[in-house]
Amino acid sequence: MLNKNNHGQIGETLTWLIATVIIVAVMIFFIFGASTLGQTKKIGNFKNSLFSDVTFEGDDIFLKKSLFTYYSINSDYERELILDDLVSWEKQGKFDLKLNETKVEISRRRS
Amino acid sequence: MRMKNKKGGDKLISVYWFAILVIIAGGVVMMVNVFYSSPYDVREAEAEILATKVADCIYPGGKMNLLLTSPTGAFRESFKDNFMDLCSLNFDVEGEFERPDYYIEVKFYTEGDLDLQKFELIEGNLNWKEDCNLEEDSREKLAKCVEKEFYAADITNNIYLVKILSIVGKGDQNVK
Repeated sequence: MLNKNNHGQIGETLTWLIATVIIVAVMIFFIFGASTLGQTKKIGNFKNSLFSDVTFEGDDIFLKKSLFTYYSINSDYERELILDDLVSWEKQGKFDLKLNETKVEISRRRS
Repeated sequence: MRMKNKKGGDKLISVYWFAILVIIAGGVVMMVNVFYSSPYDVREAEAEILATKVADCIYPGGKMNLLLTSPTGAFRESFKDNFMDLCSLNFDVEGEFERPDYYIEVKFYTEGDLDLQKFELIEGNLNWKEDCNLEEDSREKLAKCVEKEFYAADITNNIYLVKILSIVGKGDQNVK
């Protein structure tokens, strides 16, 4: 009878011990996760799904300055050269705005 | 005797639960601390702001700054000498032997010929420039570099390709 009781106590202690180990392991996993997430805190690192074309209020002053130059010069040849470069820069993803839309906007603003 | 044993077991379990509670509470505190003690890395945004500010200074409203070029289209050396004041920039640091955490470089090229540099403006700590070319696996501690370019025309219709290189060091303040 004493033997049976001992078995019960050992079994119960073992259950608690395993439970404790699992709790501590989960805890360490989450602390490691929090530490890893903490390292990725950067301004501007947002998922694409968070952006909306409708509510986008960004700007690209470098594109706009280039377009102001484009419209201010008289030589058609030099205009073509600038536009070729701007198209190439857009393909390289250097602009935050769409070239054609911004071009129309600047043209309207100047007229 | 049985009653006494049961009471002892209950007390032991209460102590166990208390210990578990402390472990979980401690873990939550540690997680929050680890996450929020890591600083936000704003160097790239800062470098972009610096480049934007300089671009606005040399080419405000789509026209060349009148202090930068003369009526004949020549670049003024006086602008280079007073670049920081004229563009309202201040790279001063608190410590006596500390070096600035910033570097700014503006180069004016004749349109269509990148070998023909007409003028340049350079300010800040040149040592940061090395960081832009390093191919390290862990770039976190290195300075952040932002390169921007745009076309500008002066009063005599000379067209320039303006390249701005803006660098922000500040690794200690932005990376743990």
